[in-house]
Amino acid sequence: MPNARHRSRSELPPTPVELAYPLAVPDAAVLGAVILHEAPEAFALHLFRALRLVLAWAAGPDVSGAMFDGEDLDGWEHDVLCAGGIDEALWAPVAVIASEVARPAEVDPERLAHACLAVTDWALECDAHGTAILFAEAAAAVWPTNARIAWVVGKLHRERMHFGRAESWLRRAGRVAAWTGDWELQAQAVNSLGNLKVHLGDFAGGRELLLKAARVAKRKRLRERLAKALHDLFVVSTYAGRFDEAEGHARDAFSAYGPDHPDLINLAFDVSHFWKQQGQFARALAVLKALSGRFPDADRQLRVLASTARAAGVMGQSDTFHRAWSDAWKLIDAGTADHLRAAASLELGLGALSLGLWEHAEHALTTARDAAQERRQGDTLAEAEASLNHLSRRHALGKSLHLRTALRVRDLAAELARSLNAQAPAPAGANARDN
Amino acid sequence: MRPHSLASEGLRTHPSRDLLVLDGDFRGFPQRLGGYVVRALPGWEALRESVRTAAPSTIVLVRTGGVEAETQALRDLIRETPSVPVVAAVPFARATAAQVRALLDAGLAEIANADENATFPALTPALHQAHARPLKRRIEERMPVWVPEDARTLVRAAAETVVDGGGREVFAGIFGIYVRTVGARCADAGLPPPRRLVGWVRVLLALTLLEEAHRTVMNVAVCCGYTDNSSLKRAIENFTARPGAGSIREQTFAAAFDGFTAELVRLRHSGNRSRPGVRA
Repeated sequence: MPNARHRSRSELPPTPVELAYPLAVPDAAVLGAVILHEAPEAFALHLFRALRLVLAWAAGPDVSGAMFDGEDLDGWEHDVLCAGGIDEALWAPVAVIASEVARPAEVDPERLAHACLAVTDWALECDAHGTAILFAEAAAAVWPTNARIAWVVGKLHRERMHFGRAESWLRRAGRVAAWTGDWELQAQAVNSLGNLKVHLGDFAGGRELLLKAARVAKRKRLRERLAKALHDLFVVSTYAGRFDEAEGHARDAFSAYGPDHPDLINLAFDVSHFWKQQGQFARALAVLKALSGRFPDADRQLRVLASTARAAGVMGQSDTFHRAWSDAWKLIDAGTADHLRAAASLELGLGALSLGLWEHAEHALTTARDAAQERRQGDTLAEAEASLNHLSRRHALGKSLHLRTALRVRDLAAELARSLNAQAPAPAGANARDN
Repeated sequence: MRPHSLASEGLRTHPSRDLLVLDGDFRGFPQRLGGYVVRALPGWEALRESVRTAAPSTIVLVRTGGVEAETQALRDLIRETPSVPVVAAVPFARATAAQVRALLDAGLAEIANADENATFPALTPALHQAHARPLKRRIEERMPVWVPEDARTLVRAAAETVVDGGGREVFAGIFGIYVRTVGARCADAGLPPPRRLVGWVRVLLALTLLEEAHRTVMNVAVCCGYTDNSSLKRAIENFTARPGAGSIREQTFAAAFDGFTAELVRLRHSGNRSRPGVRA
């Protein structure tokens, strides 16, 4: 631990309440019971036994030493090794666990923790989420100074909507990382904790944690971490209605990412959405055009196309609108992002309305209204109905709604667009951010 | 090398707990070991009779192969006296996953791997795990979702403390910290101070025991560390803020838990006002 700032020789921070679970204060449920429901019937008991032995070993010899003397662990290891017809991705790590705990005095904690994580990988593949979390927790207990494993446990809990446990494990990860001098993981854990707070509606708490993550990343010159924290701060600021602050965070995140970073498209996507919501269609359009065809997933492809059509409509760019319109309907009709049918159609309809394309607008808005009714999306339904009313009035008046606002695009929008255009199309990292 | 672990740091002794076993199930066991006093009973009927008035710190340890008749007997025992944890000693090498699953579904507090040669020390970790589990389950079932995980850990520790008849010193000892420190952690987690938290959990324990019709009020009072019926009644009335609310048997766990939850809500809101920031 060459980078640790503390002077204590203790391997863990002095926070016994936070670190008490799962070893010192047992849970209300029988440990590992869920495994018996999730694992293959013939191997479930071996897996159940493996988890309990690993956690017993992690609890220390004073608590569970005699347990290892009382069990026929060599016999169990033999049974595990002889078990047939089991997926090797499960059998192999359990065999490693059996061989390690059969000689409890010689256990290699890192090897044992990796075996537990391998079981977690298998369980995630098989949708055995309870088993996955238990073995990840076991890995964290066996290797308590590895903050990354604690962070993984927190993320798994969060994915399963166990927000209390997720918070606890993420906080633990942050504290252990600070104690062991793993600054990158500390920033990441605090960042994840901040995002969790925001998800739970605590904007002030989440923002404070994200600022802390950014401070840690800046102090330790972790540019990528800094960029991600600033990116998240940008999103939180938009939620909280701090629009100037949001723009500042977006600008800082852009400079921290640098023009070549693969995650830049995620920032560009979020910033363009923000500008569109703010009514800054010229800036949004410049970025949206550069984002065209950059996302591999249908969800974000459709969002980009619908937003492009909307912004192009407002800006009076008919060619751009028609291109986006055709591509968006191809995706909508294919049904690959059906949950966006109402929202995307609404955007398309609003774009058409701005260009005075009444028939286009009516088709899109009617689709939006019907889809919103079907999916009970109240906001979209209200907006679609209001726009249809507006359309019927404008249609009667025969007036055009062309808006040809020529706004200057010589700021962040231009820089984002230029950077995206200079990048190779559809980079591998164009998926969701990992915070 | 074993990892540094807080569990081993916080290794704690506990007051004597009764361990009820069936005569002949565990012949080699000593009468007294590791804070447990082993009491062998001649058969299921005697076991059921003893459990009816047993303190909640008592643990029942039964050897079973997982056959249906034994599982049903355990199920009946747990249904009749849910406040006393039951641990099954099962030889995993000969059992099937379905048998173990059926045993757990019967409501066992814990299950331990034990063949004929299992020693008592080898089973004590399972007994530690089972301690206070019925009360922890009752509390966990009703705990609101917004209660943070640290608070849940503290409440579980309070349940362990109360079942052993301990006070706030024992409660702090579970974490290996001073009473003052555990008080600060309770405040951070939005819980009442340790003395009041332990008092609350003691009242909740008493109300779970009162649900068991065969227990007298005096038995419940003594099991929970009250001197007599009237001090138990006073404690329940004080905590639930319902003085003169009729017979003690009319008090319910659910109503008392609502009072506990209301106190957590008050503390949560007052905590938010006094601490606008968030601790990382």
